[in-house]
Amino acid sequence: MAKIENGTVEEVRRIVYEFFSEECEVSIDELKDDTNVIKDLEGDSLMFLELLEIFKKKYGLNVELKTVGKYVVKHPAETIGAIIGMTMLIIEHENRIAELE
Amino acid sequence: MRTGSPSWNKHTLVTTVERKKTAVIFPAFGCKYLGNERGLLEGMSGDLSELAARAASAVGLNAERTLSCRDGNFEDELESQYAVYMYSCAVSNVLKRSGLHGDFTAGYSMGLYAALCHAECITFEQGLSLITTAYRGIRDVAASLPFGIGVISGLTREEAIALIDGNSEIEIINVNNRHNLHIAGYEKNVKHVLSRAKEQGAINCKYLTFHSPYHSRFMDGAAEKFREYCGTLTIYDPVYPVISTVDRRIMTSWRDVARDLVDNINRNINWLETMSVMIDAGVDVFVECGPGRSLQRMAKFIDGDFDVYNLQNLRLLLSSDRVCSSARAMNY
Repeated sequence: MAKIENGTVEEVRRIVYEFFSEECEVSIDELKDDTNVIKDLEGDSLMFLELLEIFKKKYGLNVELKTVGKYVVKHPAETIGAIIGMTMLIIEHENRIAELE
Repeated sequence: MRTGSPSWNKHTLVTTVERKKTAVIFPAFGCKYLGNERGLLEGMSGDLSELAARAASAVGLNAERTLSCRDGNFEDELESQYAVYMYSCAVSNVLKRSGLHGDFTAGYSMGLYAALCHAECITFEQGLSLITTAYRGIRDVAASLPFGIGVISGLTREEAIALIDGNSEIEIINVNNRHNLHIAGYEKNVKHVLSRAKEQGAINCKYLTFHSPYHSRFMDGAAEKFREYCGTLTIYDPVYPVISTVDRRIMTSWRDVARDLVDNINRNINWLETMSVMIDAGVDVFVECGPGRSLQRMAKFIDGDFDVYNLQNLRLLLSSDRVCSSARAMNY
């Protein structure tokens, strides 16, 4: 289980916002926590996979894609805010995210 | 990696540049348009308009309507195929005029036709005719039975094979990269596997809106008819080596090309391995010739030290030292 340090939430938020701004070619000022990645930005699952790889590398996370997939089935994350929240859970719990309700 | 250190000889300062390899790759229809493709191309050349006029003459394309559609939502699949082929050939022309031909070329799925036009195996008009014939043959076979195609993101090929578990009624028709693949077969089987994939932890599973099971044995009948048609064409040896997405061989003769045209209809393809062959051969720059940037996005999950450029940043590539081109002299 990774330790969440001061500033991690802000760092994750910044990376997620910058990522979707660049990938979807939208000004960062137009993005909000309730922006729906699929409906509003025409994003797709490859973007989510890419983001996940960025965080795995950045924080040295031990988490399997399939584990995250099983969690996503139960807890879909479609908005930027939800993706930030789920990313924090992944950083905190890694593969044990599957045990969360 | 690419540029060497400046070195003196007796008279001049010489900058040596180690030449790496470049590959020119072509997307298939269904790729997402960014909306500015026509403007970008028209800023570089008059090729798109000229090719559209030739397509109107050759296959009756409503050129103005097709070119006016900026978002890629064309009236039907055939128009969508013509459009991506036209845009692809227009970008190819720009590349060639700037002296960039590529050490290899490959076409993703139906992007094969544009790749063969780039490699000068077929003419632009022959490509349109091949597209039309393949489309009609595939449609005729697919219309009679409830086929479907699905995409799975987040599982590997091996994990998908385990899910299919020897069911011969379903095939993995393409592996796009290490996290993304297409399956095809009868609709009920495709939907069943997609459902199981989701249970197994796939990040996303989607049943696609087009139903023809391209690149599968269900297209055997269409492939046979297509073979007959290909036999009537004059196909030339490729000017640049073309990589087969079916078996990854490097095609250098018209016989290879003729076989691959047919195989592309009813045999599974593998884009991940196709890209890997070129990367292993020393390619460090790929140029995606066509609308959108679907191949660039796919390549993010393909291992290797390379970059993928596309229409959006083509000027940047042509004016850089990543490739040897005459673009600066041509003022692109």
